[in-house]
Amino acid sequence: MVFPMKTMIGGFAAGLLFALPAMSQDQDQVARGKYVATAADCVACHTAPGGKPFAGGLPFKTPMGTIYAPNITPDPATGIGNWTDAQFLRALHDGIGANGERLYPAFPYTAFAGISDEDALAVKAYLFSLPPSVQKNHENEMQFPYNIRFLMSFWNILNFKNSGSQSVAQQADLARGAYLADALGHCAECHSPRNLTMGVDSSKYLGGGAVDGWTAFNLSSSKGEGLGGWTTAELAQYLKTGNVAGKAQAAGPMAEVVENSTSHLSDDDLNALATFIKAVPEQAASGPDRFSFGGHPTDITGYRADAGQHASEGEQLFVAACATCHMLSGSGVKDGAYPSLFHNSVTGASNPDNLVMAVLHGVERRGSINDASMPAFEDEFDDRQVASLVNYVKDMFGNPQGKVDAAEVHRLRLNQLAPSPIDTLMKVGGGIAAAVVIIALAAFFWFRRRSTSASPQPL
Amino acid sequence: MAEYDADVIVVGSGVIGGLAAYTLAKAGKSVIILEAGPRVPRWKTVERFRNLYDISDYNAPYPDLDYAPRQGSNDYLQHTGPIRYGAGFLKLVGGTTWHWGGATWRLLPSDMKLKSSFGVGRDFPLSYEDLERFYIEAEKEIGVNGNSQMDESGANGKPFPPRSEPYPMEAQNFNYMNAKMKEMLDANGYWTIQEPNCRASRPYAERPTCVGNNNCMPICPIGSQYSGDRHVTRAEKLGAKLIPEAVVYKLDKGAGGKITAVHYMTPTGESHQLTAKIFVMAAHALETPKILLMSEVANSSDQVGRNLMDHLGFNLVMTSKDELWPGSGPVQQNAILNDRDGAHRSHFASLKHQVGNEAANLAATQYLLGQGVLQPELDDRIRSMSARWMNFNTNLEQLPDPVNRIKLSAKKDKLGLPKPDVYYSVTDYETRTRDKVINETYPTFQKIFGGEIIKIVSDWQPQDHQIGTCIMGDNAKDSVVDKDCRSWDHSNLFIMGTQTMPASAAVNPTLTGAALTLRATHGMASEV
Amino acid sequence: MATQKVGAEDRSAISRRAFLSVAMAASFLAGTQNLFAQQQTGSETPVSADDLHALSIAVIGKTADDRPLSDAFHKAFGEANPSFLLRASALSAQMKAAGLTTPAAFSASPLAKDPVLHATAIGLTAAWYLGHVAHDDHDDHGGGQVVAYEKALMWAPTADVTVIPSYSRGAPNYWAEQTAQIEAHSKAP
Repeated sequence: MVFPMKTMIGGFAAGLLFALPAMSQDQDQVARGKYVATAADCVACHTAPGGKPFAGGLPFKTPMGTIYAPNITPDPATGIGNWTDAQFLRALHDGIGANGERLYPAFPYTAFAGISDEDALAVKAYLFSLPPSVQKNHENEMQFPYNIRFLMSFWNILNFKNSGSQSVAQQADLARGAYLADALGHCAECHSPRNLTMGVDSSKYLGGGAVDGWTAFNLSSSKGEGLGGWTTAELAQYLKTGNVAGKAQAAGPMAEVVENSTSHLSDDDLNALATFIKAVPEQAASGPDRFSFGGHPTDITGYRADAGQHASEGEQLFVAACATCHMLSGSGVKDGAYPSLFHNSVTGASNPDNLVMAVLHGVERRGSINDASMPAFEDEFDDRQVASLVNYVKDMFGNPQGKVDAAEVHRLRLNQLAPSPIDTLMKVGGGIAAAVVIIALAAFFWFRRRSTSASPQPL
Repeated sequence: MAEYDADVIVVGSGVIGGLAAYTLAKAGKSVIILEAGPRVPRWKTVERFRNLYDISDYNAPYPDLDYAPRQGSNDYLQHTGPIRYGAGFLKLVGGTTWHWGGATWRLLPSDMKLKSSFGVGRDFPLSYEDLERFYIEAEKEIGVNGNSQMDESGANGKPFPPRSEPYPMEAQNFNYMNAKMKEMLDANGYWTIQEPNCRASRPYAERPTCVGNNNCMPICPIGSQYSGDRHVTRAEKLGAKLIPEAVVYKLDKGAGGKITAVHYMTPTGESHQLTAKIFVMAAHALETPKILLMSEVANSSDQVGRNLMDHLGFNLVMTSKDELWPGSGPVQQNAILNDRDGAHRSHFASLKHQVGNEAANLAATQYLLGQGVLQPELDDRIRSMSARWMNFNTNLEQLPDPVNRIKLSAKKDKLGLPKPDVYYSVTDYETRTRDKVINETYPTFQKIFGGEIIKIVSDWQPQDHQIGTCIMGDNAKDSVVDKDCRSWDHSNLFIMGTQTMPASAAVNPTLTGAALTLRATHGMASEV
Repeated sequence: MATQKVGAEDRSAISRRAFLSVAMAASFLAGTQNLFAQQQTGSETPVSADDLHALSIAVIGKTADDRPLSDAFHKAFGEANPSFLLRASALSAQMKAAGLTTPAAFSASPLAKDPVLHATAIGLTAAWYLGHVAHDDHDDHGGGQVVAYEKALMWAPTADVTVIPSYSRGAPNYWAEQTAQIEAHSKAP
C-alpha cells in the first residue's frame, strides 16, 4: 500500500510545482480581493438573511422607496458574470451600472470611488472565484420621481465629490486608516448624518447617523457622545472583538460589521483605522462620556420580601429577564460574556434607541473571542413594557436623560423610518412639487459648479 | 360568511398542538388553536419561580386555575388505582414542555416492534424506517443537539439507531461530573451516552445559546431550551388564530361519521362553538380521552382512555467518594442505557438510568439541617455534600395495559365538567425489573463511585411522561387511531401526541410524539 | 404575600428529582416536634429586630451580617410564625448572658446541647439558608413566607463552581472548562 501512495503524492507534487507560478499570481489576487471585499463588507448588503452569500436580495428601506441589493456572484444571467473590468470599475467608482444606468447611492459608490483600481479588480477576481448563484434580482420599489434613475445624476452633483478619500488629515501615517475608513469601510455612510437629499453630510463627518432603527454613534473625537474618551487600542479592540469591557459592545448592524468585516482585518490595519478615527475632529461636544455612568444595584432584599409586588414594572422586568445574565448589580459576569450595563456606551447614551433595539431584537455577534447572543424580547414584552424596562435601566445604570415612551418603542419595533425632511416636503408639497424643487436645486448647483470648476471630476 | 370557521381546529397548544398548527398554517391552511389555559410570558414564570416557597416543586411556578387545573394541590385528578398517578402536567399556551429536561430521544426499531420482537406489549402500526425522516424534521423543528456518533441502544457499538442526517446542532459538552462519571462508568462496562436534548448549543431559531443556568426545570430563564409556545407563536405569525382560556368540552358528530363542531367554555362558563373541516386533538394524554369520552366519539373500540403508560421512576441517592460537582451546566446530560435493549425484554423492562445534574445545595442543606448541623461546620458540609451528591434516576418501560385508564369521574370541576378518574397500576414485569435494579445495579453503582447511600426511593414515581390513552394500531377493534393518527371512527378527527404511542420504551417520548404528528400533518395537509 | 401552602397532593406531584430534597426536609427537625409543646420554651416578649440581627450573627457568623435581610426575616417570622420570635428571644438572652457571640463559641457551649435552644438555632439557620420562614419551624412542608432567593445562604458555599439556579455564570460551555479549578481545590488538603 505504501508504494502507490508515494507515487501518487509525487505525481501530485510535480503537477503542483508545474502549475504554481501562474496559479500563485491569481491566488494572490483572489486572496487580496477577499481581504478587500471583507474590509468593504460587501457581503453585508449583498446577502439576504439566510440567503446565499453575495446573491443579493437584501431590502433597503429609504424614504423614497425600497431598494434591493443585486446578485454579485459570477452567474452570467442573474449575477455579474458577464461584466468586464471596465464595467466593474465604473460601477464602483462612478455609480453607473453595466448598461449605463445610474445606480442608487444605497450602493456607496461615493465611498468606493476611493478604492484603487488594483484593489477593485482584486475584489472582482475574488467574486469571480466564487460559485455562481442563480438568483434573479428583485425589482426595486422606488416611488415617483425617484424611480427615474436619471435623476441620480442630479443627486450626484449635490452629494458626489468623487475626490477619493474624504479624509480629514492627509499625513502618510493616517493615509492607510483613511483608505480603510472611507474608501473601503464606508463608515460615514452610517456614522455621518444625512442631508436633505439623503446624501452624506460631509460637513458633519462621522458626527453620528442612523441605520435600520439603530443609532450609529458619533465617531468623532468629541467627548461625551463621541469617542474622545477612548484610546486607540480600545478602539482597535472593539473593531476586532466587538467588545471592550467597561466601554461598549457591538450590537445590531455594527455587530455584523465586526463579525463580517473588521474582526478579519490585520492588526496593522486595525491600528491604522483606529488611529485615523481617533484623529477625526470633534463634532458637537456634549455631556459626559457615554461609558462614564456608574450603576446602582437593585435592592433585592426589599424586592423579594414582598415578591416584587411594590416594584415598578421596569424593575420587575429587569429582575426577571435581564438580571439572569447581567446580574442584579448590572455588572454582567466575570468573563465578560454578558456585559456590564453600567460603564456601557448604550445605556449611557442620551438617545435610548439602541437600548430599545437590543431589547426588542436581541444581540447576535459571532466573534474571534466568543459569540454574543442575547434573546430578542419583541414577542415577550409589549411597547409599554419595553419603555418601562429601558427607562429603568437608564435610571439605574446609565444616562437618566433621554427617556423613551411606548410610541417610540412601537416605531422602532416596526422599523418605521423617522420622518425625514424630505418626507415632510413630500407630504406638504406633493411628489411632483418636491421633484421640481429637487431638479431646480440640482440644476442650480450644476450650473454653479460648471462655472467654478474647470477640470472634470477625477476618477 | 365562510362555510367553516377554519380549515383545521387544533385542540391544545403544547409542543404537539403547536407543531401541528404551525405545519398546517405553513401549508396555507386556516387554523384555530384552542388552549384551556392562559398565555404566560417567560419572565413571569421566572419571577414566580424565584418567589416560591418550595423551589423544588416544578409545577408551582405555573398557573393553577379552577377552570384549567394543572397537577397540584387541587382535587382535580381522582385516583382510583393502587398507584397514585401524580405526574405533572401544565395548562397554559405552550403546555408542559415549559418544564422539562428537554430530552429528545428517538425510539429504537425494536421499541416499535415489542410484541413481534419480544412477545410482550404491542407493535406500532408503522416501523422506525417509516418514521425516520419525520424524526429528522422534528429534530430540526424542535432544535435538537446531540452526538450523532453514539450508540443510543446502549451496547457501545456503532451509531444507532440509523439516522439519515446528523443532529441539527452539535452536542453540548459534558460538565466535570459527567466527564468524570463517564470515565469511571466506562471502566466498569457501563456506557455513558450524551443525551440528545433541545437546548440550543448555538443560536437556533430565535433561541440564544444555552449558558448553563441549571434551571431547565422548572423554567429555562433565557428561552434557550425549546418549549411548545415557540411553534404556537410561529403558527400565529403565519396567520393561525390562538384562542387561550378556551376549555374544550365537546365534539359534535354529524352525517357520515364526521366531526362537525367543537364546543368550548370561557373561564366564566360561557359556551362557544366553532366548525372546521378537520379537528386535531392534541390536549395531552389525560385531557384528550376525557374530551372524547364526554363527547362519546372515537370509542367504538372501547380503547379511549385505556393503556395509560408512563415511565415508572425510582431513585438511588448517594454521595460519591470524590467531588464530582453536579450543578454546573444544564440539568441533565447523560444516560446509561446498557439495559435499554436486548433479549431480556421478554422478561424485564427496558431501562434508562440518569444521574441528575441539578445544583444539590437545597437537598444537601435540608439534609444537613435535618441532621442538626450548625455553623461553623455547616458551610463546609454543604460544599462537601453538594459536590458529592449523586441522584441516580431510573426510568423503566411500562407495558400497555387496558386496565390503566382515564374515565369520567362523577365529581365535577368549576365549570361543571367531569374530573378525570385515573386508575393506575403495575404488573410483575415492571416490579421484577425494579427489584433487580435495586438489588443488583444500584450496589454496583455505589461500588464504582465509592460513596454512601443516602436513600433508595423504591416508590413508583411517574415521570410526567404520559403515554397511551388513545393508542394507534392496525385494527379498528383494538386501537383508537390508525398509523396516520386518524380516528378509526371519524375520518376528519385526528388525535396527536404521545397518547397515540402503543409502547412507552424507556426514553422520553416527546420527540416520537412530534415525529408522529409531523407525519400525520403532512398527510392531512393534502386533504383540506 | 409570598405565602404558599404546599399540600399533600402537591408533594406527590413534584417531579422526580425534586421530590428528593423535599423528602429529606420532611424530617427536618424530627424529634423536636414535641419539645416546644412540652416545655416552656420561649420568653414572654418577642426578640427585637436588633437582637435578632445580633443573634443571627452569633449563630451563623459574618454571612448573616446583613441588617436589611435580618429585618426582613424578623418581619416574616412575626407574620408567619410569631412564636419563633419568643423562642429566639430566649436563645438570644441566654447567649448574651453567656457572652457567646460566634458560632464556634455557641457550638462549644453547653447551650448548644440543650435540645430546645439547638432546635431554635436550627430554625434560625434554616430561615437564612433556605431563604424562607416556615409557618411551623419543625415542619418545612407546611408552607410559609419567602424572604430571599438569591441571598439565601445555601448558595454561597459552592459559588465558585456552580450557579444560583436560573442565573448565569459565564460564557456558554463554562461547565466544560472547570476541570483544572475543581481538581486543584479538591486535591488541596
